[in-house]
Amino acid sequence: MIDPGTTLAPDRVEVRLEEAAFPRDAVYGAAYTFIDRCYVRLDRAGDGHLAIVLRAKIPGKMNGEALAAEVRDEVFAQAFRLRLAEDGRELTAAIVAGAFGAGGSGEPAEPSIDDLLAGPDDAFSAGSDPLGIAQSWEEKYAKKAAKGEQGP
Amino acid sequence: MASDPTIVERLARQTPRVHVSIGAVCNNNCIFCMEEDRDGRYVNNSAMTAERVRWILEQNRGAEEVCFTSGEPTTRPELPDLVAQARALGYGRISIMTNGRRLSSLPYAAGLAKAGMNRFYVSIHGHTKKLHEGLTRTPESFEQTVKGLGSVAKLKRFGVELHTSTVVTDRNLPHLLDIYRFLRGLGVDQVVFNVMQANGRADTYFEQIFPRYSEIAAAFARFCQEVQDGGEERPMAFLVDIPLCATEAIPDFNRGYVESYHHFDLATQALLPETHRPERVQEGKGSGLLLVLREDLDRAEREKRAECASCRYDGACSGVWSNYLKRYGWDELVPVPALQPAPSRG
Repeated sequence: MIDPGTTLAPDRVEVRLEEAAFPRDAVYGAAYTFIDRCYVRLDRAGDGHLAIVLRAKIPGKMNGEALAAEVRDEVFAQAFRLRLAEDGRELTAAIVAGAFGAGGSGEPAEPSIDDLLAGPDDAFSAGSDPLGIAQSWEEKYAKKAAKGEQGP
Repeated sequence: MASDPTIVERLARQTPRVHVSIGAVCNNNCIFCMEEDRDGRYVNNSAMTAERVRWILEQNRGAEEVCFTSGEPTTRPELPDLVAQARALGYGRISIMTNGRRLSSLPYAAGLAKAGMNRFYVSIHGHTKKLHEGLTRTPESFEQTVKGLGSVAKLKRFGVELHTSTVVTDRNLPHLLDIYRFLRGLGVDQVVFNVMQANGRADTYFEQIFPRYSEIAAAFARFCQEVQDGGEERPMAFLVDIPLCATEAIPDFNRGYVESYHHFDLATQALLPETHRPERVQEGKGSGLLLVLREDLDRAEREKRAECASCRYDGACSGVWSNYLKRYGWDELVPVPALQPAPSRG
């Protein structure tokens, strides 16, 4: 059965949606997902309604009824994602802030001296010397040193 | 507003410092190093056990600053513990003279700062790899020292001060401004240009690397002017260990000096005249050590001439290195007339 809000024509589908039922961004987002297959137009359709109008890029290849159902599913999906994003905004902000060490001011917090004591792994901890920097010059360059004192 | 103290006043106001010689070895091989006798240094500084260092720290409580130095102090694994001891004993200023390579590890540098180290004197002798490593004769030393400066700069917000020491040679003398800008850009608080002691390797390679004092002073005066012309009224740069009679053209603020300090050497290693030894012998846990003053080295290795007595700076001057005078003589060093008293109002 064709949805009453849908108008089908050869190579053309128009889906009308109540503005109050769906966020504007959900309608935009849903319409955007069809731009690889159809020419897309958004328009007003009388009081309190928007219309998503799809026109086939390749004539004769459009299944209008299936496409209309897909539009409606996508509008619902987009609206649901927006609601999830809104409901989880504080949690997301807290996780990102934690990851970047942000303080309450929104500015990245400076690491404490204890934070600086911890290297990226054990090889870079305070007591380690993976590059052998603490070795004496003679020990590290013994072969050259054995040949005698270098000139300037 | 009170005027700044003059160089003579600053010299007169020095407070006691103690140096603790702990680096038995060094990981650089600087061409101008005054510690040419590396075997002797190894013997002396290896003898500075944790127990002896603790004794030195206890004996010198109240000193304005304790500085861990000689060789490369960061080669001593116990360094963070020694720093913590100094802090526990109440030292307010705890410092290190280092080539900074080990500080390239931020956790290591942070460990020292957490233990109580609050001033770093990092030796760096050029603003490029070629210049610096040509003098240290140690591959990768430039990158590691620069990274070390970066580590200490990150610690400044915990109250740490970052000073550098650049030993002036023929090679880097033409680049004072480049070096200064490079170091200040890295967050260095004070850039010290140290004129070489004409001892050790600096004496051995004197002809190849040692500029005349008059050339150094002129180059430094030009450098100060260039920095001021660039909009920085007071360059945070200081020229150190050069006779004051040679630096009259330098802004007084930028005339530095070698701090007054004392340290302890093994009695078998200390270069101290026999006549001074009895009064310098240490007892108890310091047994085997001799107290050595900075003035001892001055007395042994520097000279003055009769004309110096008429110089404004005679009382504040330690003299000129004998090894310098052997090469360049006295000609460029002219006594500065005493200041005339201001005329009284009649």
